Amino acid sequence: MKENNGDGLLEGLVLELRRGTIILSVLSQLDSPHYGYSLVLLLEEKGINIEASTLYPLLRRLEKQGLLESSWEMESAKPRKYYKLSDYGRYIYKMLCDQWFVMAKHMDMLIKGDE
Amino acid sequence: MEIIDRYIYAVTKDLPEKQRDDIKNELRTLIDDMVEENEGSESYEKKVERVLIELGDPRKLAENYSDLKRYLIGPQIFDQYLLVLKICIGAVCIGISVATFIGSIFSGTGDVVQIISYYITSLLSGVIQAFAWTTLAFAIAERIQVSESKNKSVNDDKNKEWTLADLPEIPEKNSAISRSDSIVTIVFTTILMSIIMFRPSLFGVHIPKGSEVTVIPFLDGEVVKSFMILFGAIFVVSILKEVFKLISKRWTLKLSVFVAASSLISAALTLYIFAHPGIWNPDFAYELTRNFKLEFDILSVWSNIKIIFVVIIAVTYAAEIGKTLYVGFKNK
Repeated sequence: MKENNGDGLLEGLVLELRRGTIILSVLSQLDSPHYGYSLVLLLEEKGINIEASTLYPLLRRLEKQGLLESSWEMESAKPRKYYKLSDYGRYIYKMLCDQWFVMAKHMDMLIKGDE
Repeated sequence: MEIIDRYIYAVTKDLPEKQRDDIKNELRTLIDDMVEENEGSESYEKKVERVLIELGDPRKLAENYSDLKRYLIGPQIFDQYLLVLKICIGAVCIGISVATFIGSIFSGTGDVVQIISYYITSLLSGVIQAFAWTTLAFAIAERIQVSESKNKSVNDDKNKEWTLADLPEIPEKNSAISRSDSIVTIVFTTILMSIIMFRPSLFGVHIPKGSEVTVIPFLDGEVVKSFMILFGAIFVVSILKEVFKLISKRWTLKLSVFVAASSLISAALTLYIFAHPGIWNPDFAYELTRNFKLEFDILSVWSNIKIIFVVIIAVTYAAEIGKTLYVGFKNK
């Protein structure tokens, strides 16, 4: 009983841990323009699984917040919306990365210090 | 394919119209891409089905897309909502009861059944309207509140640390807003409004004749009824004004601008209604002359009174707006 619960609990905790990194993952890949699904594949290739149903609304929200810019590519048969970092987004991304490194260092110290 | 259209429709049907086409195009291409990526030997239809199932419940996807508030009145102002709702419903009952009671004394018709049935229907309709208009006012207040706090959090994002100086000041006597003032205003407005809506004939010249009283109403009841929506709007705006005050609890520049804007709107609506010549009882001057056997020209006096009334409304509102803005700027 306890172990079963533990599995669900672990899943939830991992999910929560990952949720905090999604935005950073997305911003990291958008120096050059990508459309939603190409970004899904690109991240998947690098071991980060984000579902399209999460990513698409997120891209839109980041655009609304001014971190991303978008443009429609209408030339091919399928119209595609490309997103890339705005100047503001690039700035925020840098700041987030700094935060990430500091956090990772501290977490390392916390966890490895225990061993 | 029909199933794709149905899925996209299910996601986008409740989204804001501005984004809808954009999201539709994006989703269609996405589904197409995902199907192509799927290199199995299954039929196209099977692949599509798999992709749609992978994308998941369209309602969830729609929820991710939409950032609209999914409630009418939030917890922050819910207590005030209940308070004002009770006050308004109570005041409507008082207003209609008093109006019916006085009205039935004056009209002198002793048909109790008719009076009671009219009383009950007006009461019912009045309570429903009070509920609807008050809720509308609070729904508006919630939206305006929300946009305020959104702006705030954007500003706060810029690393602005909370300091002790950010603690709200306890309002000084002259910037504090008296809660009982607002409540009295709400009660008065509601009673006045319920009389105008349900017994406009009470506003008039009352002439006692023996045991009976003849009433010559100022207003034309039928036309008043046709302005019901506008009176309702005035009521909403008036309540909204007091709701802003009840929520803010002290005068600030922002509050005074909101209150002044509300006054401006209700002034415009009131003036629009009373500038309409049909609102006044067309037989008023004639009836007055007949009843009092007046010898002078009441008609021109009456038309002057109408103009003066409109001017008084305009001046009163202008003074109130001026005062509100003054208080706001003083407490900036």
